Amino acid sequence: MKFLNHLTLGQYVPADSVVHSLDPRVKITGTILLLAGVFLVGHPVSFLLWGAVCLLLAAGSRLPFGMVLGTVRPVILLIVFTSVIHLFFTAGEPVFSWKIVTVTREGIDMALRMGLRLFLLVLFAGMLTLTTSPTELSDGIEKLCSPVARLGFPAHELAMMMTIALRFIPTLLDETDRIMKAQIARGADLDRGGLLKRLRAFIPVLVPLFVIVFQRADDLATAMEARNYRGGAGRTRMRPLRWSLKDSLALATVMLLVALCVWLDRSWMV
Amino acid sequence: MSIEVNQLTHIYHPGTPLETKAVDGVSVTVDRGEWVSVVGHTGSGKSTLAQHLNGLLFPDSGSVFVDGLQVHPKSRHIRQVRQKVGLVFQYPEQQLFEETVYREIAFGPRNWGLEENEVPLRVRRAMEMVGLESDLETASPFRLSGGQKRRVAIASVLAFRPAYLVLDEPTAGLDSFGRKDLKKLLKDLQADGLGIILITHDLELALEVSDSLLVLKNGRQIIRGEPRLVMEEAIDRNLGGLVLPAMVRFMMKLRELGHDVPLTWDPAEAAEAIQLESSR
Amino acid sequence: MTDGCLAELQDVSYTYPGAVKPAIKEINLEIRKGEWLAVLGANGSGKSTFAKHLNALLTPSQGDCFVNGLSTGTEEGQREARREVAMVFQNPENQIVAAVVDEDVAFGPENMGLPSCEIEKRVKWALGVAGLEDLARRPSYALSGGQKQRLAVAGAIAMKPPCIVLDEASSMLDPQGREELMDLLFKLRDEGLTLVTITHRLEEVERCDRCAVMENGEIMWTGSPSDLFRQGEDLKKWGLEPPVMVKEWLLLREKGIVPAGTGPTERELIEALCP
Repeated sequence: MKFLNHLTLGQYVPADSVVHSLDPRVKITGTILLLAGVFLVGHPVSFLLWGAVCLLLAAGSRLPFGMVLGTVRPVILLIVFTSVIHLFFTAGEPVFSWKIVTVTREGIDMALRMGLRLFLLVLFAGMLTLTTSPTELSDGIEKLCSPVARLGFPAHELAMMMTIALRFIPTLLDETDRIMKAQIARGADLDRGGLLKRLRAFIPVLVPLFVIVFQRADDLATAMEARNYRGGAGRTRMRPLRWSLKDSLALATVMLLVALCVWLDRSWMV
Repeated sequence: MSIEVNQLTHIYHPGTPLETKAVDGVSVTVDRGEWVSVVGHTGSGKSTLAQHLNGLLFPDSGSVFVDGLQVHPKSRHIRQVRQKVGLVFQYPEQQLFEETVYREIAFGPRNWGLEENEVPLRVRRAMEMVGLESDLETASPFRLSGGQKRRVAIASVLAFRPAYLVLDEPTAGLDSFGRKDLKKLLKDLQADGLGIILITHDLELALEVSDSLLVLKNGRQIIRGEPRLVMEEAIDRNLGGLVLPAMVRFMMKLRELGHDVPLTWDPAEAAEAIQLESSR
Repeated sequence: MTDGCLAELQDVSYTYPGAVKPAIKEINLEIRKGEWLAVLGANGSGKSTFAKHLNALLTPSQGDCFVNGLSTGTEEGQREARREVAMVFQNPENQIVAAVVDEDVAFGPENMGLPSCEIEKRVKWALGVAGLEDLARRPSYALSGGQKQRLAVAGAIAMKPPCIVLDEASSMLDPQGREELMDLLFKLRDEGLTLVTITHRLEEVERCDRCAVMENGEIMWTGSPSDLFRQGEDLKKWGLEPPVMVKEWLLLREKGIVPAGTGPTERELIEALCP
């Protein structure tokens, strides 16, 4: 019953694939590089190339492409909205004009570019969370931040916070649903009225959620303490991150790919 | 005047690989002043069924009528239905949010447009019904004990004067005295004319208090009728995780060993029957 | 502290910060190695507060708590307590840390700094004991209440403590979940673990070695489960409900249908009625 919810949020889907088995540090760094690559190009063919890369990645993770596309669904409105803003508010050579509304050639350009960039951004980020479990992700981030951790940056604590927050997302969704239903059953009107009215109507949902969350924090801290948790010092891992040749190759490939795409794009744009 | 459920079916996630029939062809009628219990294992569909009774969920096929009003997404009477059928969820104290007990209990009636000058009396009456002292009106609900919080939550539903009361596992987490108090409260409400619908996995409790029971398994109703009938039918069947009352199992063992005794869940009745049989 | 004694409370009182009166008063109790002790009482009797002293989540305001001879007031004693005594709490949801089942079982051993191959072995073993091997890679939120509590127990035994304390662990479970949990406890008992269960349900104490009843922060009575059942109607004054079979036993004895010496269990009643 609760499964479909968490699927569309790009939560981890276990599978036996090359991408799944890569070290999370590679995947995190690789994703950042890919995102940089996406934002550094402007030529339409470059975007096609990136789309192809995405398809390849999906194949390499043994995930149906439909599932990968599904990660965009929650933010599709945001992407469209951003594109529209660029469409109507970019200065330049007017192509079409009606009263106060002007659409410029540069505007169409920017709208398409930003739209595609955001679309690809969400796809690549979604692939990261689909193929990497929350624990792996937080381990990866913690390891990547370890140089800064030595200078006092709370890398472990942040990673632990992230793991716990991700783990409780489905639980919180269920609880929100339950509380909303309980308040509707008492006559609360959560789906009618203007913006202000609806915001106020959500207090009977937000307050109980806060209470639940604070109680949870207390209980969880006690349970963690009882299980010998004492922060990051001295903690080992059941599945420690082990860098292998495969990971180096993967990272090198991504770096080359990004460099190549940016170079090609430069030459096409001229 | 009754709740009528006819061949109700509800499907979750239709058209996806996760499609499930949570409720499959269930029918039941509850009259005012009648106590009907819906018993089943976790996942048997009983909570899904309950949420149709006050229009939180709508049937995929079949029908639900409350006092003649149909529960249907396009119905203009849904708010009326929700006022007629009070639904108390499991661990209802989790829904508390107001600054004072008074405001929490007034929340429901106010949502249905009760005249402001009538609210104080309504709140007081609801608090009396659940056994809360009137000086708790100004207390913060968050500072009360677990048992008191639950009473506030139930009072907040009684305050909008529903004609039927649906309760989902109301005894969850209560100790034996809490259970006893709750049973008494519900019996009093039934005597006042409310239709009571109890949703539970506690077969023993349901047998003790109901006029009739409905046993669900995997969304389907497998037994329906008066407690004694349900008891007789239940012993030979796999109820999917429901536990037969210890007393009944004891009487079954006596029967197996040749004693002619009724299958009852009541210790006093059992003792009398055993005494009667041994004197013969 | 005598040999064979795992933990001992001597004159322990505890007052929560900001509270007016102590939650537990002058508690004297010993936990013997290998025994199954049940601590019963109504809500507010202080049984949870007592339980939390056993693994040094709380340290006494007055008096002393010893685990294997070391006082939990010292750092050494605290570490000993955490090693020797693991805890399982009431809310199945709020004690699971990781998103995946086997990762959660690994949490305790990871905190103990064990090498990764040892952790993997322990996790596999613990999941097997708890009957959760097939669910090892499942998301933890998708488990039923009973499965979640079994997961919590697996996480506890993975740390290989000689003693586990369960604080109202079955209160929020449905009958099936309770049965699953009790079956697991019977298994652990047979393996020689020391168990302390905190509960208000008398149905759960039949197989225990010893029971202690608490009321208003004090221990009112200790003895065997069958002696506890024989207290009959007195149980009500402690806020405990006699199980239905005990009620039947009282009635049958009263009516003279069974001889006075019969015990309050189903088995003994059947024996008396069908010689």
